[in-house]
Amino acid sequence: MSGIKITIEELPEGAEEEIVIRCAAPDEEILKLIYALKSRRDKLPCLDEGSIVMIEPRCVYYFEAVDDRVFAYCENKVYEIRRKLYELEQQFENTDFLRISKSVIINLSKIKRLTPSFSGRLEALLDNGEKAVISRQYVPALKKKLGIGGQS
Amino acid sequence: MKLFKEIISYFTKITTGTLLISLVAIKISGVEVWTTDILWHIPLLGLVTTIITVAALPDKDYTRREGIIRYSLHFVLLSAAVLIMGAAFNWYVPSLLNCTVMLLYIVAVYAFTYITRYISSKRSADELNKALERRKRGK
Repeated sequence: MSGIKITIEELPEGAEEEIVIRCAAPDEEILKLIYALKSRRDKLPCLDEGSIVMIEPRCVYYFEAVDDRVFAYCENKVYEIRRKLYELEQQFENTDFLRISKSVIINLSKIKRLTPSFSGRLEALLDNGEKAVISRQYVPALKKKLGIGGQS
Repeated sequence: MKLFKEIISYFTKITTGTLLISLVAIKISGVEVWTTDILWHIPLLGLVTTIITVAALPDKDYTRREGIIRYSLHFVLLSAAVLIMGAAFNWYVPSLLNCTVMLLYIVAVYAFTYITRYISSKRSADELNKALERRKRGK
């Protein structure tokens, strides 16, 4: 995909947005890009006090598994999701989401700052002031995702 | 491979710290002549304390409580190893005062090792913060 030409056309307000990909044959990288775009736009069905609501994945700060239940933490609201954590990990594999411990998947775009913590762990301060711990065994994956010491 | 890297990393830091503190201790002790055996004693002590470190502080996540217990146990085992090996190597004559001085040296090496480890983690976190910033700007 190196040297790829990107054209952005501005649309009049209210017009339907569209992404057109021109290529000889969609390779793995383009397929990942399509999947990432689709995953970002697909809304997630969640439970909010018994009723089903649809939330945008980009609004989620992190997903956490607690006692066989999975929750999506948004800026100041928590929703329950009827999905397994590994399913969410697979669904958002090529997006900003990354597994940072056995029970948490974080949205990298919501991390404000990282600081070193106890015994090689990292502490992530999120945009809403919450903190999440990145386990030391997941730090290499974070580095890889961010293009440090490997391909992102 | 990961364990090997960890052992090498600890061994290098502990041995360097022990060497630096030994230089200070030799200067303070006023003993002008030391046998070349000390060239083997220092890395040997470094190896033993590395094994204790890898066993007491394995590469996994701890809760704060478990971490405090592990670090305390680590410090006790480390101190015991240095005091026993130091006496066996004739680095000091065992007495209450000498043991106290040795403990101060152990604290100094401990501090050196963990300060260098913290600096390394801080550098890594700074690098990640810059990468995060670049990722956000690229969107």
